Amino acid sequence: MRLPSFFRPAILPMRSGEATSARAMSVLILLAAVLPVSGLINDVGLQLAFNIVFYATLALGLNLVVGFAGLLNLGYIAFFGIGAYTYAILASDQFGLHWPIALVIPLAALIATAFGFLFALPTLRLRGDYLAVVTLGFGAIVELIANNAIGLTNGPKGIYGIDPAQLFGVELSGMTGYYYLMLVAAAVMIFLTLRLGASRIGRSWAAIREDEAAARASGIDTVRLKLLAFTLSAAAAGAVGPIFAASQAYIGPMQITIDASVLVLTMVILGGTGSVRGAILGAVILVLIPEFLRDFAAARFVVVGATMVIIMIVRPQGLIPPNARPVGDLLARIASLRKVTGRA
Amino acid sequence: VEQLPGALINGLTLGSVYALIALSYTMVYGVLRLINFAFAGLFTVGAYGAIYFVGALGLGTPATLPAALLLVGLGLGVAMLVAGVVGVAVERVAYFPLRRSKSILAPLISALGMSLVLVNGLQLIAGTEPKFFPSVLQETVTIAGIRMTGIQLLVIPLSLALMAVLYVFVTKTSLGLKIQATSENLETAQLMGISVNRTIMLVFFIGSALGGAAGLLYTLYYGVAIPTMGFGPSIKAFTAAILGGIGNIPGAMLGGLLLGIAESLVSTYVSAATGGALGPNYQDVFVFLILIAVLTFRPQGLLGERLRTK
Repeated sequence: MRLPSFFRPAILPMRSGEATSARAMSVLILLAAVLPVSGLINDVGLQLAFNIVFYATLALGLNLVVGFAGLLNLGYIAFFGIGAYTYAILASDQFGLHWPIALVIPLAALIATAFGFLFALPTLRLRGDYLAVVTLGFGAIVELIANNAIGLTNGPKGIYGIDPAQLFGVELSGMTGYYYLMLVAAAVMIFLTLRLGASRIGRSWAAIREDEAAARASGIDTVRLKLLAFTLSAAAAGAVGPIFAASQAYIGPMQITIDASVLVLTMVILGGTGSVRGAILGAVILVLIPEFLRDFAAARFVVVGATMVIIMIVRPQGLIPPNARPVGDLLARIASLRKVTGRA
Repeated sequence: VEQLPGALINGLTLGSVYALIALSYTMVYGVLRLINFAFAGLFTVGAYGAIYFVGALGLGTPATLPAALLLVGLGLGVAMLVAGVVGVAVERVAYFPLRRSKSILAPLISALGMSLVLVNGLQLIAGTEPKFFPSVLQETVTIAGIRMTGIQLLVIPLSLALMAVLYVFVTKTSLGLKIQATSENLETAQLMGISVNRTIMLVFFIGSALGGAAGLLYTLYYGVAIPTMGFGPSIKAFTAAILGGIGNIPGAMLGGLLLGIAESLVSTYVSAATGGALGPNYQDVFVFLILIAVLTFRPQGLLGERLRTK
């Protein structure tokens, strides 16, 4: 199969909106980078910041398939789980293997891609909602294997004592190192998705999302492009897995349940489906709010479920849709308000 | 080999429960082209409704066979009513406002959200610990050399009867014709003077009631109910609906029964066939592989017509 023009430079120059986003994102990443040395946050705050960056990276990956291509993946966390378990198996005492993380990250992405390819291919030729059920089933199967293939995954107990990440001969110890590693992953995802969204591929995805029949009629190879979105997203989740597993020194089946997939999905749709800023905002909100509901897992998911329904009915485009200019719009609204009150 | 009749009976029992839920999926999919993820919750809500109702009446384990049958009948009625009413409420709240939505994503996400609300809401109200329906019909009987429990003897004909009633209702009554017309073409049905709204609510009521009945039968078969128990059966029932041909009522029945039998055979024999390398827990993997295989080789299902992509 010939790959689409993924690495071909985009024909169009950056659109002004995208350039603004890229600048805003650079500022955001810089702010995030100085956070640990700013003295503003303690260890608990750093852990929270790590969680936000981690979930934002996952949400950006899921946004590729749900937001850009309009396909529902309900087993997304399974790809993350495949990545995390790959590192856990290859870099722990489970089999006495100790592969370096720099090697395992691309390998994990590759394995996740292969699984994504295998299971998405039969369904992508059909209606989009079949994919939702197949991915739901896939997520359940990966969880089942994590629980039952005891020889490989250590079953329900999970794998402990995973090697810390070593980069350029330096061993990462403590949360700060992993925070920066995850931030690099997030930055890669941010610029990759911004660039992809504005490219020929991104515009083809948008066409498929809006009207698949029309997209096909305009000569877009819809199956191939949907497959690309799905596998890229799986690869992103697969690559994040090893970083997370190394940071916790542990991975277990409880961390890759359907609930986690649903949580990341809610981040994407709450923030604004298809929007890079939205996915990040969604991660911030849904990491911070559940802190208050921590002891009530069920209550938390009632809130998550209700949020999904309400967003779809009241504001299906999410809090910050892709082309919104929240600050500019707010200023304009204030200005118009002033005009009204001034007249009265 | 001596396990075969038992495995078949187990498979038929599970399969008839799957068939009931598959019918719910198929009916809703038929009229709205929507996968109603909320069935995972409605299944459990129905079972819990019956358990609480029977508990509130202070009914314990019945002593005689007629009393036991009466208790199951009462439980089924309550389960179907509760699930049906909640199902219609779900349709009003979560799907009706999105009926004109162009995106196929929005109703799916809304359905998923509703399923979370139902399952976790139930967990908040009823707690996570298992609940029990009074144990009935636990005696085993041997018919033609096959041992089965009274429950199995009840579940299979009862599900078949429900399916038969549904089939007659949809094909022979005027309300059923309205459902058929609506699922054929919503706009045209409306132009013909059919109240599409009322028909869709009816479909949701019937579908959810079947789901609730399935929930109680499943509870009777396994002896306990927990809030998350709907997840597995609902994925399997969806597989069954696709296997039979989604939107097709006899297909859903056939798909459910076949899937139940396949699952039971796999869980009985796979462990021995692989020398214990794969335990009976892996039956779900095989169900999933069946789903993938059907979607690859015969996406329209065994009895279905080819579905258009949009």
